[in-house]
Amino acid sequence: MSVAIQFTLLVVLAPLLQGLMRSIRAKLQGRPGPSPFQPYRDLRKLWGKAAVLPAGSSAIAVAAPGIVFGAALTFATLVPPIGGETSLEVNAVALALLLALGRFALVLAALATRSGFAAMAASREMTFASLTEAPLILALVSVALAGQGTFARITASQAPLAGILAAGALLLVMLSETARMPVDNQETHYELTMIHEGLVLEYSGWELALLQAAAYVRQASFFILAALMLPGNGLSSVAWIVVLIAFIPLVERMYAKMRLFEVPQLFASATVLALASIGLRIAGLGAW
Amino acid sequence: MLKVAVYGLLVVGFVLAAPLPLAWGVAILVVGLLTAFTGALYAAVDSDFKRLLAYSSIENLGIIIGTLGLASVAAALGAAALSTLALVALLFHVVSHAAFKSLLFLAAGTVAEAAQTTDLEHLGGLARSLPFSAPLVLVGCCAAAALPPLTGFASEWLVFQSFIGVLAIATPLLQAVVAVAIGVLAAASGLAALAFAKLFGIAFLGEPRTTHPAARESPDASVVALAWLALACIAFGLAPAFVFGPLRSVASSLTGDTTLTVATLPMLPVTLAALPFLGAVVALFLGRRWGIRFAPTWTCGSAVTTRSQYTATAFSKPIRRIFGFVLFPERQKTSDLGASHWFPTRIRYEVTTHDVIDEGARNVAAFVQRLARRARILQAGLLRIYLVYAVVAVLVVLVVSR
Repeated sequence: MSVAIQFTLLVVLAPLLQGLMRSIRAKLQGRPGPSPFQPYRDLRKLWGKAAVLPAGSSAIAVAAPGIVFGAALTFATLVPPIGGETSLEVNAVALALLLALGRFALVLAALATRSGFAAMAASREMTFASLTEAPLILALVSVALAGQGTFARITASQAPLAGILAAGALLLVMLSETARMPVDNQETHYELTMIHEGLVLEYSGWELALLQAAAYVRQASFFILAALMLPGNGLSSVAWIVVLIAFIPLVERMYAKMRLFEVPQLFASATVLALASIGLRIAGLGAW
Repeated sequence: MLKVAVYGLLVVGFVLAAPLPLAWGVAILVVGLLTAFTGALYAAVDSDFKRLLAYSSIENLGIIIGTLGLASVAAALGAAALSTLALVALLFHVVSHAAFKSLLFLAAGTVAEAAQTTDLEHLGGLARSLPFSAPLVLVGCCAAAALPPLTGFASEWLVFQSFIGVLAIATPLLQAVVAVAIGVLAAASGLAALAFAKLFGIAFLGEPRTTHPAARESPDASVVALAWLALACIAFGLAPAFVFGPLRSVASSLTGDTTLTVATLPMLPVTLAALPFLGAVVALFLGRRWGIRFAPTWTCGSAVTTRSQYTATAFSKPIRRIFGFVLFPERQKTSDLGASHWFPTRIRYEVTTHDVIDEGARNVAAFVQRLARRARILQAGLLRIYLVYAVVAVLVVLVVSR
């Protein structure tokens, strides 16, 4: 039951999450910024528009946004509920490969456009994705390990420090997965610097609405996963989400975009964080 | 043919020499995963249809052998159920790999025949000239990238599950090894996804990169051969229980444990892929219903030509640079200067990478051969010299045994 409630809330509030972070970032940059509800308006506007696709694009390009949206919804259902006593099995590998499914469809659609920009973004997206796969899976495995080998529940409170390290790894992966500074820039309009935006460059109208909604849902799911890894349970997880909503724009405000070939170092740090988290649990330092 | 070694290792490790010492299991695990990672890395940067598939076979065999090492580690730790799980996982991966890789190698034949080349830099747009084979190859590529709900996903998920299982019960030092192993497996699967996105995206989508487009295929026996393998990829993925059952009895006969069940496996691929599949159908339906306008691709106002497309080499450039410390990429640029000193008439780029492991193996082989050639002096073919050897050997034995 709590799964259904959380899923509904997650999907409904996911655009608000994005809107809040966007307006907080604008305030931090000294701009008035859009209203937190702007993403809802954008989605409604895009949904009402016709789609234009590059000439000669195949059925894959038409279907890809649907696949991505379906994968994001499935991802949201697999996220364990906050405050649940016995939560769903956290399926690290299933989550990672589910993300890979949506990405694969988009990359193929980008390569079908014959445009150098979309294909370059596809290449970079796949590169980063292949580098974030290890920290993502390791961070989730670290949490599963806390369940004393049963993998049945998230009990982050057992080992706060290990949980914080795993959440750190997950958040670094999230920066890449949601196209944020310092990995990517959501607001760029310069084709050569785009990564995620470049991948969806050729999409418009209702197809773009599906892709954006999917991105919001994925981002909200990552927030819940990270909050579950941080110490405490129930209400404190909700509090962590609020903290993250303020913290992520601050990170974006503080850092400039990294050079493309410096980003792998970020992912290497994420991998090290995740491994350190597992190491803490192995060493039996759970009391920390 | 590649799997014969797996059979041999299984027989030696779990029947003839069972139980293997723990250290042997760890050694097999480490070698297997290193192989998997390097195989995936080379597949990710390669630009030849067939060679890419061959490197991907190295990757998959590495995963299989690594899991075999894990199975014997689990057996040595006394966790018979986990050992069975790892064995089922590796056997399942053998079956999966047989399905999708046979499909892709057969497809390489179709491509070579249609386009007269397997070089990705000269391919492109094959989906239009091979309308029957292309969707089947896509199934194979998705299975090789371990995407749900295909067979590669089911088997790779089981492989990960067995690693995570051993991570929970092993001794601290082993846990550290297994944790790193999970990371390596994850990175290998990410690189494999990149390799197969490149393979299908460059060869089958976009426009041909040469002036000789492939002839349109007719539905013949080669399509049927691809079709039943694609069907196997889908069936083993959607209904893993049918493969899991028989393999479990094989694995149980090796470890003597019959308690293994994986409750989440039978439904997992369907659960994961149902909504994406539905989403694809709905998007296609809406596209038909509302109509989609087609307009020229945006390339900052310049014309879209076949030359403006990305190439396979460019697609894997970031990986080549990031992993430069193993791949040693070299770039050569030569320009033909015509009459003008400033405007070259022709620019030629050549990018090469070094396969360090292959070169290392060749060096070792060459060293052994050199050594053997030196050692040939000992084999003079003269009876008296052999008698001297015999006497010396007897003396040595006497001295040592005293």
